[in-house]
Amino acid sequence: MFFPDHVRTETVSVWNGKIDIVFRVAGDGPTLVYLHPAAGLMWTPFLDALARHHTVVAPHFPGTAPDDPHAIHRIDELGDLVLIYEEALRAMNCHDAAVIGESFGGMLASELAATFPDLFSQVALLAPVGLWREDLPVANWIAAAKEEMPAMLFADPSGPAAQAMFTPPDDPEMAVKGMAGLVWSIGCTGKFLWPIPEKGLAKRLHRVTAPVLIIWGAEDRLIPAAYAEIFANHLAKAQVVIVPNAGHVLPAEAGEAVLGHLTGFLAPPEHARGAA
Amino acid sequence: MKVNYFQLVPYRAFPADFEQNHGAAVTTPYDLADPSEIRASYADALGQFMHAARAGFDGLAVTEHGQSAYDMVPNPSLICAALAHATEAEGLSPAIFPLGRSLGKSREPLRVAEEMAMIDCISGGRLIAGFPVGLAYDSSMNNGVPPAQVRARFDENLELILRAWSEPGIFPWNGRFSQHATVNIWPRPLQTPPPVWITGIGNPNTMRFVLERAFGFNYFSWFGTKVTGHRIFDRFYEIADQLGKTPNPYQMGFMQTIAVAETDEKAERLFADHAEYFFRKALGAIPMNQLALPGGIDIRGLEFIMRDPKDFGIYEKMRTISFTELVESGALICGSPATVRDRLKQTLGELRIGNLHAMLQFGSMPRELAEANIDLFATEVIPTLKTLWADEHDHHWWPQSLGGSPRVDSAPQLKEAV
Repeated sequence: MFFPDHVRTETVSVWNGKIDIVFRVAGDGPTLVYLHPAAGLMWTPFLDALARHHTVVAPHFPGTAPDDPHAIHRIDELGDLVLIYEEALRAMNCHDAAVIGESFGGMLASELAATFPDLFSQVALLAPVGLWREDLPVANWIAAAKEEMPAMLFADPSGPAAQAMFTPPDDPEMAVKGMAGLVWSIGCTGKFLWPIPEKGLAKRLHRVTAPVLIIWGAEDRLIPAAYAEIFANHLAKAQVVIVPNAGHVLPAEAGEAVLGHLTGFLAPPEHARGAA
Repeated sequence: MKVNYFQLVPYRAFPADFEQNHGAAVTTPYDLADPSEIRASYADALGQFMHAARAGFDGLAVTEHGQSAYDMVPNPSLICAALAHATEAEGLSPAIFPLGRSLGKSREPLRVAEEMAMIDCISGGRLIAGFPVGLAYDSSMNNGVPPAQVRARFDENLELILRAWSEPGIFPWNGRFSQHATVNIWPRPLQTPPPVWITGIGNPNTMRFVLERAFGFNYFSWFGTKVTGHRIFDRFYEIADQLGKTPNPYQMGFMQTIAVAETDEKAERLFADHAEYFFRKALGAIPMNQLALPGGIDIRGLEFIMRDPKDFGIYEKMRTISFTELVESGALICGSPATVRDRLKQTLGELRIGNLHAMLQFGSMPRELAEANIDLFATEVIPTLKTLWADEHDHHWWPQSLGGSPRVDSAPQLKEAV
């Protein structure tokens, strides 16, 4: 788990002292919360690009930060998880900030925004999990074989973005640590997704009052892009963007396009008004 | 030495290329199944268990696999209840050993407690209760328990069952996974309490738990006794040493696939195809992503397995494995009575094992051949094995009505999830 020097680490104690949430923080400007996908928090060029105009505040999911893997066993239910995140974000002065949630992080951002409608100023969802239709099954990435993953996650399974994610480091010990960390992270987040990643969000989404931008890769084979409109139909203020030639891992495969859409959406309201 | 008869209830009539096209569990298409063969599988399996009981085996051991074509036993209590009654009716007294009632997947732990108590009562106190954590595909894929929750659910369910068996009065249970205002099962077991065994695959945490609680420890040698046997049992004895405990051989149980005929050549001729059928179309046809799911093994355990995957022995080549490789790895002991006696005495002696679960039907083996295997093993092999560890140790993990010694203290204690 590598984080560059310009990324700070801050830890807050929540849940009556039982859970420490570790944040990675970088950049200048308005606060932007980033909630990572099931694979865990990695500091990518996408986050650095966001950090050019924002202070990116990114919590590790409990159990996936380096020092306390068993934190996951101290959280029983999704409802508790949402309260823990809200407590941690307030402790980091992130209330009224914008949030980007990617995949599993998108479900978490949606749950937080539905439970605490005043928590976020804007909500950007990158191919979020959380809804389910039997005729549009979400692929089970938690139980997938390793060799199935590239085609599940990328529009181009042999392209550079997929290669970068699935080529292990040369150092065998680094490779072991990296793979074990990835598998454990999928297991920790999977505790709140198994066996079908739908835990009642559809009942709660109408409570979201913040404006929502939904971005989806047209060739997402993990969660079909048809879910973009299904999400939007549950929300009061939502816009949908479908990115061509992109799969599920949007920042890796279509980072520039996604940043372009996010930049317009995340502009402060007064700036947006001035530009109009 | 206690020698139990063990078998699965496999579907025996798959086409030769089954494993190239299908998995053995969870997704196996049911349109491959011939209903008359399914029916015969149960008749033959129950018949073989009874045949072994009549042949004098000390116990009958049954495991559990849901949505599984290689072992159509979603609940061993059903088989064991039938065997408990049938043996009583014939005046036979083998231990009845459901060694696979997985508690990591169970959403009805009180029902497990009641079923086991029923078997103990039907059999007149001959129950041995086996509680594995459970296979990943069964606990999580078949039963929907998140992999990261399986172990905690196992821990809680086991405590509830032990307390439901032993507490004389009524009590409330306020657990994380189940709540019961009034626990008061009818019946309670005849034994106070029945012996408890845990099956492990090498996880040091499980070994430590077994030793601290003085349960029996079962290991299944499907990954190749010669490859994994010393790794697993040496690890167990090392942990025992760290805890200041000296396990006696009767605390150890060991499942071994065995085929015996008059000569080595005849044994190979009779059993090779059935052994290859079993290993290729059962465990060999379960992909690794069904045997291990993210969240089921903690990050330290993952790092250990990824650095050194040898606990999985011959698993990687099982889908195409040959008879010769099965014998070389020790996954199968096959040959004349003398060959089988020698190999078993060596293995059980070196690994200090006091309970053998002899798997004598496997794969496509038909009933008459399974019964011939049972008969020859009973007459030519068991008498030699019986002398091993005899009179040297007390057997605290065996029903007292069958000669077991009183339980050693294993007072239940509520644990934090691990």
